[in-house]
Amino acid sequence: MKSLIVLVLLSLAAFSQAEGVVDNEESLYVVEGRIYSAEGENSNGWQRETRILVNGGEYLGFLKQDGSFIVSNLPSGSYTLEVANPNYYYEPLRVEISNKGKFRARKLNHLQPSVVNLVAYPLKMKSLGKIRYFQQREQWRITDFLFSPMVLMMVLPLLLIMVLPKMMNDPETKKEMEQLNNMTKYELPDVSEVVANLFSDREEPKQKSKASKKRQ
Amino acid sequence: MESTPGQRQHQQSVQTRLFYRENSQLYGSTAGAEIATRNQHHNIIPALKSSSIVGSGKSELRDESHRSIGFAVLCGPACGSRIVVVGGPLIGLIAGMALTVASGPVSKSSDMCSKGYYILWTLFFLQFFTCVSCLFEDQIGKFDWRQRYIGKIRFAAFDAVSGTRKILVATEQNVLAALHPKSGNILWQQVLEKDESVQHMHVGKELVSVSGGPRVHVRAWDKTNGLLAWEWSLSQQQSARARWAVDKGRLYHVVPLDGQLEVSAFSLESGFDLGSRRLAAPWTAGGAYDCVLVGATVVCVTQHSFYWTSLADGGAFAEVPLASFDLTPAAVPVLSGVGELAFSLRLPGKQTVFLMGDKGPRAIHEASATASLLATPFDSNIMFKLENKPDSSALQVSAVSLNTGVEVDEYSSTLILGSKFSPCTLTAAICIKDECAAVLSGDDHTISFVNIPGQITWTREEALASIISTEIIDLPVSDLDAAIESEFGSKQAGIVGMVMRRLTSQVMQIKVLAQTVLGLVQPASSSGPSRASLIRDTFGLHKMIVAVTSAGKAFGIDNLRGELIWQIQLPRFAPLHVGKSPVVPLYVLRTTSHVPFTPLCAILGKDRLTGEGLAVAFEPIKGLVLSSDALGYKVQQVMQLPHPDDEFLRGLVVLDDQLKVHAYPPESKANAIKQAASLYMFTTWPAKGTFAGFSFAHSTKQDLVATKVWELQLPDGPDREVVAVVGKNPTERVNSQGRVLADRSVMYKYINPNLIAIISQVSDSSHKYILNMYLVDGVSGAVVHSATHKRARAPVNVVHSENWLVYSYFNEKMRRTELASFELYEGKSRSNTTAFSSKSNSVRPLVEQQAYIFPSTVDTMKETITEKGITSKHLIMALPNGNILELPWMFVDPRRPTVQTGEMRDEGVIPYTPELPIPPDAIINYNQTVNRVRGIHTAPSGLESTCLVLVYGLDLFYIRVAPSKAFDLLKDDFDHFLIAAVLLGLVIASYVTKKLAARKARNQAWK
Repeated sequence: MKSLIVLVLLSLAAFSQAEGVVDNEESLYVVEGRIYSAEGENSNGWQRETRILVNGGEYLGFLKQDGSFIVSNLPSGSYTLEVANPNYYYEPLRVEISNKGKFRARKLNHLQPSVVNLVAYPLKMKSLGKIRYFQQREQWRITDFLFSPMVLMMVLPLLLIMVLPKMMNDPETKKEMEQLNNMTKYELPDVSEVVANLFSDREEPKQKSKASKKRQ
Repeated sequence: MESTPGQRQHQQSVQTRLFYRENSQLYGSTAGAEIATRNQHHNIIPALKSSSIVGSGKSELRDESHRSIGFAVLCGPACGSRIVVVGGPLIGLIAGMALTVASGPVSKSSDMCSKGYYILWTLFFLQFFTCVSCLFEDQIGKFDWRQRYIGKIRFAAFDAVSGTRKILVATEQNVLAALHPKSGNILWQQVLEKDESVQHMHVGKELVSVSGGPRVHVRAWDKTNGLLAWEWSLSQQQSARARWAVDKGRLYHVVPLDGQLEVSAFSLESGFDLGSRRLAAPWTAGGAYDCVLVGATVVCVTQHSFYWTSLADGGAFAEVPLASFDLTPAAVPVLSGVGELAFSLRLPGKQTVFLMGDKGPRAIHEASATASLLATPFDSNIMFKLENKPDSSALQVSAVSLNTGVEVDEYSSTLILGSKFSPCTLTAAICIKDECAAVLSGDDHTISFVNIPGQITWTREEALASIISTEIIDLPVSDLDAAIESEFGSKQAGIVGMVMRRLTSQVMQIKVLAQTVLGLVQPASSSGPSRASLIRDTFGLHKMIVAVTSAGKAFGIDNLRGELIWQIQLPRFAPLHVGKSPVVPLYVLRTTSHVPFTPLCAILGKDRLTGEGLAVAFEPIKGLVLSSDALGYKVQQVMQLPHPDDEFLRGLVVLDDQLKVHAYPPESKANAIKQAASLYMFTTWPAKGTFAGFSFAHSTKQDLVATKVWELQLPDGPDREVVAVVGKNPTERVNSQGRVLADRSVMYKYINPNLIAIISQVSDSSHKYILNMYLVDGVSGAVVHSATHKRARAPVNVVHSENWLVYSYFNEKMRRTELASFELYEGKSRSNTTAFSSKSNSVRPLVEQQAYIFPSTVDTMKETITEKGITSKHLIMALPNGNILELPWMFVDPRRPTVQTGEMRDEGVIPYTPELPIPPDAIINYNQTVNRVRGIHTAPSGLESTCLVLVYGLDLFYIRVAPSKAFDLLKDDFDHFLIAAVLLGLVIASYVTKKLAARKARNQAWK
């Protein structure tokens, strides 16, 4: 477990309450933290594009040059805190402020809200990476081209037409082929015979096939 | 879930008020207890799966192998109850039953959802997101555009000190921005809190903004890049007469109290409270006074005297009688600040400018009461005066020397605005050397920049930041097609005339064909918004967006590039209100398809001055106002006639607040009376919680008469609030009438076009808030279904389409947003195969329901719509972080099973996961943030696959989406080259092989 730093911050509102400007109002607190950009400290513009949304925009926080922010005027309670940046993803958090002004931050878990996974407070938030909005286009590659069905369709018949007759002309392969043909003839029953048997009487086929085998 | 006695009692009261119970078996506490026990057995998933709850009572629908297929009969005829019907023959059947959908305990972790298991599910389920809608990087800006707006100016100032000159503005929409003085483009902008407003802006070393209330934010912004420099906050009493001022590193806040003025001072940068003083001001007691801060001096006026004092040292008020300036006003004058040193005193008829000196105010100039005055900062000592001249549609700008009070002729100029004229005020002015410039803010929310002397160099149409209703309209066909259309359109012409017309149109066709072949005529280009290019295209993707704003202005926008084509001023037009939200009913009375007749749109609103109804009819392609009629009554409800008349005009039927019926335009009354027998209207009184249905069957031949046939009164609860009333899109078509189950049987959808979803919220002592949802048939008043969410509250966003309903709400117990999803089915047989009738339909639909966790809040949502309804439906959701998410409806399908069976897989239903994902490639606006979305409008295109989406709020965003992928269009990256190469290759190969074969045959023959 990380050690939890609990800071009790008296907001300025509370201060002014002490001065007696506002009466009978619950004290308000300030959540503070800092965002670390993935682009580096010196890059500009990301601070402006980033906003802190508490409870989906009910309260807002804006970033200073160094990435630090405060969200003020929060009564005690439980809040979701998310970082809205169009380019980088940050993990949303839940920040709880107790009645006594104690702060606790934990990872946001909608599924099991009671699971406490504490995060250090004041918040230090680092980007979890660039958001990838776009699908990668397929790159053109020579292998894709060659193995595409259309190319195969064109090349294979060519092969069949051009190469096979050549092979047939070769005397050795001719012999081999003949041998192969003989082998296959020997092992396989005649297809036409089998089909013919199928359509003839039911009892006969067995005998006939036996007979044919005997004949062979 | 503990059901305390209090809660039970409340539930009971809800039901007894609403229903007369006949069979209490499934009601009230029984159902609640049922839920409670169930929730203890299962964990996360059953807590959200409410279908199991329903199924527990009567799950009658089983397939042949006696396995429950997930449908539950909500209420058989036995438990149908009746409701008292007001004044009509129809009996509203109620089959309502309160069901708790969500808010179960989801806290305990158990074996079922150990983390690994969950991740596995999620992974499984993400594979369904196989890029249905995502974009490729090279498609940026191809189908979409975004326009950024800031709203109407509240404060503006020139920044001439820092590097680049810019205009700093704070607007009524609570936005701070810097505009480029040459082009008006936004250099930077900061969108502050949503429902607050900027109270003060001060430009010094930094831009200081004071916004909000009663909790006030004081923030300082870097002028060049818009970054926050420092911020602090304080709580203050709210008062319309409170004033803020910044002077010498201090922030002053002046609040009038009873007989006193309280001045609080703060250190500007740290917010340190420097104490407050109360100045005795007995003349404020009656409230008949006005105050203004001029620099660090507070100046007040009553009917008799001026009072002033310095904020810094704070002595007592000094007094000068008004009579010493020869002023004897009849009423309290109005004060307004004129720059840092001067102020003006406005009386009926004239206004006097006073310069504030050490010895008190000194009158220097007199101007007309309507003139807008502003002194430039620094030492130029010039005050600009702007006078509106509506007669000549012009603005008269002149300058007055503050030293002498005499007009300086060299700076006077007349700005002629023509039809775009709207009264303007000066908001910022500056003079550097001899060049002056000013920023004007129009009543129609425009921001204009003027060089003085000179003309307006640019104008920003900020009314587009407050769009209320929009419509996407087909463009008209080309003249040639129109000629062909008109051939069939007219009936008077005889045979000879028809033949002549046919011949001429054919000659025209040949001519156009010849011209295109010879390349004499360029095909209508999409580059310019010229009138000639506003012609319907082949795929129906080019359309016209009509947008009506709350600023009393309507716009026509080209949907392809986002150019403004036309704008019309509606100076007296103000939106109607339903509850707090403004609405402007916008109807297309006649579409662009009926060529000899002009297309026609109508908007209904109220007169800004009298509050009575105002209807404006306009032509939507060219933007011409055809008529603007004061209706003479207040509009309660409006409805469009289902069938057009002989001139293809579908008029409106308007119900006024006295429940009298009117037709608009008046000539469509005959058509309305013709259809009256089958015409029904539904209306609500959200404040009273009353809903009523009207029939027009009792109309006579001369008059339309509305008879109330049913009324539904929501039970009174503490802080009862009707949060949403949503019907279905009348243009929607449902292609598939049923859903094919795994065993090849068909489950028929309950498609009732008259179904209306009503969601109300009540606060409760034990649950804090309870949301109730009722599905009501708008014709018969029958409550088809109802559900209750305990410890749930608004914001509620509803999407109601086809046979399903999805809405988002906030679950208070779990502190998260959830989506509840309902689906209605008739069963395995259809009650009526030809047309649906609310009157004859006695089928109680089977209801599937489920809830899902949504990992963000939802600003607004809408379903996609396509021409024939074949394409699957997606939800377009606007999230508060500025993203627009396209979520397939399949993800919120209430039939998603907790346990994946083979059957469900065959059907293509994804297994249930409690939390929905927000995958980044389903965000259709990629990194173009759309701020403060208020509405989404979807419209079909000519292509079945494609839906046009317009998102409006502070910004405008348009995109077209293809929910089932672009199945009827070639892909963007379709490889024409490869196809051509392969074909060519095949042709060549066949020729070559033919030659080779011939040669071989010849050689063989010679052997």
